[in-house]
Amino acid sequence: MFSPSEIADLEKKYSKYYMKKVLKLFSIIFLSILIALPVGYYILIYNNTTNKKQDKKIINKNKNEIIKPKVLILPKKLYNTVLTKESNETNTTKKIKTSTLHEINKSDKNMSVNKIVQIETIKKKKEENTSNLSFHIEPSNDLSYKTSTRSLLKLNFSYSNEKNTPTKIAKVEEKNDTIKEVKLPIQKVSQKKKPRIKIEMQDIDSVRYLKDKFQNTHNIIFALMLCEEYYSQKNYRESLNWSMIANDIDNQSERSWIWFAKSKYRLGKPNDAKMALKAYLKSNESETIKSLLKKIENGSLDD
Amino acid sequence: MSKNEYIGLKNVFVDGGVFDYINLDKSSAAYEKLTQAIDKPLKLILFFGKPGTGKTFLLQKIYNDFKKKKNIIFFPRPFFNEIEFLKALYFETFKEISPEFSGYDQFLSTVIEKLELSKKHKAITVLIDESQLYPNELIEKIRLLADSRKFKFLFTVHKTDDEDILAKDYFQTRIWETIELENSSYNEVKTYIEKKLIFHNKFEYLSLFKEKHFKLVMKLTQGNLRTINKLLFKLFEILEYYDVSSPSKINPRSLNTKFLIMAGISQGMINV
Ligand SMILES: Nc1ncnc2c1ncn2[C@@H]1O[C@H](COP(=O)(O)OP(=O)(O)OP(=O)(O)O)[C@@H](O)[C@H]1O
Ligand SMILES: [Mg+2]
Repeated sequence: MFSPSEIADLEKKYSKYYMKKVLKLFSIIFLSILIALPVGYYILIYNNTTNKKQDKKIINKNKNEIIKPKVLILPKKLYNTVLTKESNETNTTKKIKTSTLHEINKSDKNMSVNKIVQIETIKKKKEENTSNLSFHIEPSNDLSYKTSTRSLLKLNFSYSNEKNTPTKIAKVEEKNDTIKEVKLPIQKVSQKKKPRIKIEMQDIDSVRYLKDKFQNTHNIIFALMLCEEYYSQKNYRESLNWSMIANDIDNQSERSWIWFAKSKYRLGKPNDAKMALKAYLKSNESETIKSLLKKIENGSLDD
Repeated sequence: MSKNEYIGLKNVFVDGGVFDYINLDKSSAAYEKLTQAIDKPLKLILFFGKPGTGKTFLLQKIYNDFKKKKNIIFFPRPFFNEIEFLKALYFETFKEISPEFSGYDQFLSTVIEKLELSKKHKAITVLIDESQLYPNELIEKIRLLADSRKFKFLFTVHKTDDEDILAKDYFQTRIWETIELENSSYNEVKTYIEKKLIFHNKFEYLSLFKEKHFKLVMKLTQGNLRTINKLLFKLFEILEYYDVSSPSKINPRSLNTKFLIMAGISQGMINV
């Protein structure tokens, strides 16, 4: 095993590595702001002189630009933080976003849908008189939260949910609804042409995934993983059910006994749990089972 | 989680600890090619790849699978001396202690006679690992042995970046079939780690590794299986340390990328 000094050294090196990364990120952000500021300033001036009478909110009418917002699914908590981040952006950036983001935010307030808005403004040739809008809903498995290239002209956020619980499936419908609601403000924004709305959805639910896997392989591992999944969702009936399926496949599987006992205990049947564990201990030696039994006996099971 | 669990996890990734062969796309493909090559009337086969890609494991697998059905011999360790090599070959061929040989010629005549007597007409396959360590003279002798058609040899060689083994003339003139084993792809790396954990009954930890971790492992190791073993061994050694000294810093249900980076740093895969 490592010695404390070796770990301390590694920790130090890790901090150094981390600092370097953060510095790099900051310099990229700083540079892009440096570039973005004069460009943004120029655009503002240009807008003020040419479109004085135009509503400030309808910025994407600007002849030079096309705005493509992208909606991505993301855990609820993060959605909020992202939105607050959005509102902390510089004034110039805000102007572009308010037109779309604000409405989405409003219509979305009561929704439990988790989203992130990605806005990309791409410079285009002057011949284009209208703007195109498109929405994408795409789950992604990328867990890293990237904010590397942020500037007035290009805003990029991406995030995704790590684990989907069945409750989230139900929300798929809501997502659809939200998209419809989102649709309206956008039409307002670009009154002349209908926006092109593209919705792509794939929701990977871990329980369903595990069940499929189990169906195809009949491997005990997936039954045990389902126990764990359900147990962590406090669905003790299902975790009990799957522990029995797992036990059916291999009655020597220690984990299947553990999930059985834990689920029984949580369902208010500590005696069943104890009996099962004792039965297992009759023909097997296991410290884990013994300590679980002890915890159940004195009611100190806490996970 | 008790201290033992991380030690157990660490030991899953001890390099070459147990023979826990896993079917990966590339290893299966190489397995097919090698077994086909062995069946063809070839005298010499060259099997090569970077260190740590799984050549020895594959040879072991082929040996295990065919030792009952075929005349097959496996030399996992190199020989540096001709007489020793010949005596070992004699022992493996006839399963009896070899007499003393003055040299190659005497060996060959004795062996041919004995094989004819025992009516063994098919060539005996000899799997030679670590061929790059054999002295050149010995390789020459082995080539001559192959010419007798009593033996066919599969040379396994590791190819380092600065040495092109295929360019060596003794391989250029004689080798008739070459088979290469490359580093693993991203998906193979994923399968490798998952199946290792499953093989060693650590399925509770399957969910420890998420996409971002696999990506980082791939980036740090370039898909080299031995390098992956080293990285993950260190990772669990680090976790073992924290589990003992400051358990609050680790979460047994999810893996903090920090520890993987620390493991990479300690193995020189990341320079700071
Ligand atoms: N198919 C496989 N299944 C499981 N583990 C494997 C497999 N192939 C390789 N490994 C792992 O990778 C490690 C390195 O593989 P191996 O020793 O076979 O490499 P090698 O190509 O022979 O390297 P070298 O050229 O240095 O001799 C092994 O110890 C083993 O843990
Ligand atoms: Mg080897």
